[in-house]
Amino acid sequence: MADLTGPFRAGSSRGNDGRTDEGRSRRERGQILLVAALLLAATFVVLALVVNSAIFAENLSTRDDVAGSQDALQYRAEVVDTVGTTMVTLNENSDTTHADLRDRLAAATAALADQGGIQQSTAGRLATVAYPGDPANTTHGERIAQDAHERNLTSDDWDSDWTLANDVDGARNVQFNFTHVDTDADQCGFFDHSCPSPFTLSIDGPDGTWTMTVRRQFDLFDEDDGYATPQEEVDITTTNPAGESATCTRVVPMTDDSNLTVDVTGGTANGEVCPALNRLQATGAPLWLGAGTDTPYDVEFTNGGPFNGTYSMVVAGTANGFTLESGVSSDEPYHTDAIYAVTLGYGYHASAVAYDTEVRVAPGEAPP
Amino acid sequence: MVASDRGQALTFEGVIAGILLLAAIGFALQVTAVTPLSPSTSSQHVENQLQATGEGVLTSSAQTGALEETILYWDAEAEEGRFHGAGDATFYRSGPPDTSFGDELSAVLGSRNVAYNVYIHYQTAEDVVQTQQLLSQGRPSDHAVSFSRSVTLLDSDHLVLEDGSEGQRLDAVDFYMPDASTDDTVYNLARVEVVAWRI
Repeated sequence: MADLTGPFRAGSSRGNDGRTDEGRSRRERGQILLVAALLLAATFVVLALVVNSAIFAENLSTRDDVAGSQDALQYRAEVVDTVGTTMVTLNENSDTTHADLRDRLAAATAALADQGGIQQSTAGRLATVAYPGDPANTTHGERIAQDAHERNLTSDDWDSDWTLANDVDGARNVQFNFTHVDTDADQCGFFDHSCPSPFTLSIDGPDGTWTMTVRRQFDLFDEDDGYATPQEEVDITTTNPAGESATCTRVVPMTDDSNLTVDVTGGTANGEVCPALNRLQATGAPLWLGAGTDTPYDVEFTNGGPFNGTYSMVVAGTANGFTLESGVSSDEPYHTDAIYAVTLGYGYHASAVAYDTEVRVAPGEAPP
Repeated sequence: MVASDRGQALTFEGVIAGILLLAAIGFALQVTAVTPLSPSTSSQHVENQLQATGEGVLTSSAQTGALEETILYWDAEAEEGRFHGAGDATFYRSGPPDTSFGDELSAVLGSRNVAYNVYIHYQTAEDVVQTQQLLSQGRPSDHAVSFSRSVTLLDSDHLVLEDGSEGQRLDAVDFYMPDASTDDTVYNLARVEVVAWRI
């Protein structure tokens, strides 16, 4: 840096270096200009760094934690959905053996894997799905169902209270379509608050019993004839072994064309979310099918007589052969072989991510 | 001779100072140029939000079956085939189809000044990927986002009639998507892609 002071400030008109005062003054102005420019330039560079770091931080905030991980997980979810849809259809439309079901599902999964793989390859990704169709990757089960709309929910022997399956390791896709919900007023006396008796689905396990009841509301005191009067509202109530319960209500008129559909494991009633089927318990887990109890459990119906409709579920284990017809039946409850769950090998390889894992497919299963 | 030297030095210093200043200003202007993250419709944040919203629509539609219903909303009786209510074209131009998926698209994207095209990709028996357009609202801009979802079609699926009721089985009608699978359960794996952009 040039020295701006010192001998140039001397009072003589000509200094030791022979320069005049006027010359020195011009020289100093030039040097000040240069220093000022350097300072300004340095300031601009610092400002630029500050702005750049802000932009960089903003940019980072828009990125995934692991680049490409979202695509890998999203396609995994799609594979679970597509294979699950196929499994549901195979279970519902096939009256065949476990081995045949495995072979068909393996063929269908291979077809889906091929087609999905080609579509993913157009985006520069290698996606593989493998289901060899052997028993080691498969949880066998039974599909229990009744297809007769006008039949009540009793056993083959017309028992109102009966067991559909003993000691099963799970139940999924539990769905009801009630075509008639008890309207019999004669059973109720004055202010009998336990009336009418509900239809009950019980999951009876080692830690207690989880229940879902379906019951029409009754006006228990009618001034005209002294008898109870059925209302249009129907309550769906779930109770866990600890006694916690929740209820949701749906309007089901007493006409022939009004149905009540309850997707127990899907958590909906008449297509809308039913809080009773997924409300949180004190433990923090939802009050869904089998909450609070443990496997293996029994699946039971109580008071199925005054209720008509169809139902369907897949259990992991064996259905109760004593009370159910074996093979598809159009007028009685029956059970057929079904696949409860399978484990797929899943691989996803892209430029930024490589992911290999096993995924379980059990559509409509409430997590344990 | 000495005065001339001093003049040259002064001029030289002035020029250097000027160049330094101009370079610094130029550099500063360069680093504050408009980036993809500058507040504008092309902001990366906005694109990410749009992408996440769109993926949510596709996921929920796939879960409820609305996506499959829209893929099958095909009028096989019409000459050359077209989607129900699409007018003279095979695909929709004025707005989304009159299905649950169309309603969801309209509610989530249409109400936010977002235009979108919908394509259905599928395969032929020769493993060639083909595309059937479902909806066209114009040419996507440079900052459009794309999101997609796979849907399984099974041999046992039926077309959806205009009133929403069940039509004929897929293998019995002239459907735009062929049976690409030799398997007797799976018909085809469709991939619904939505390309959306702010207008």
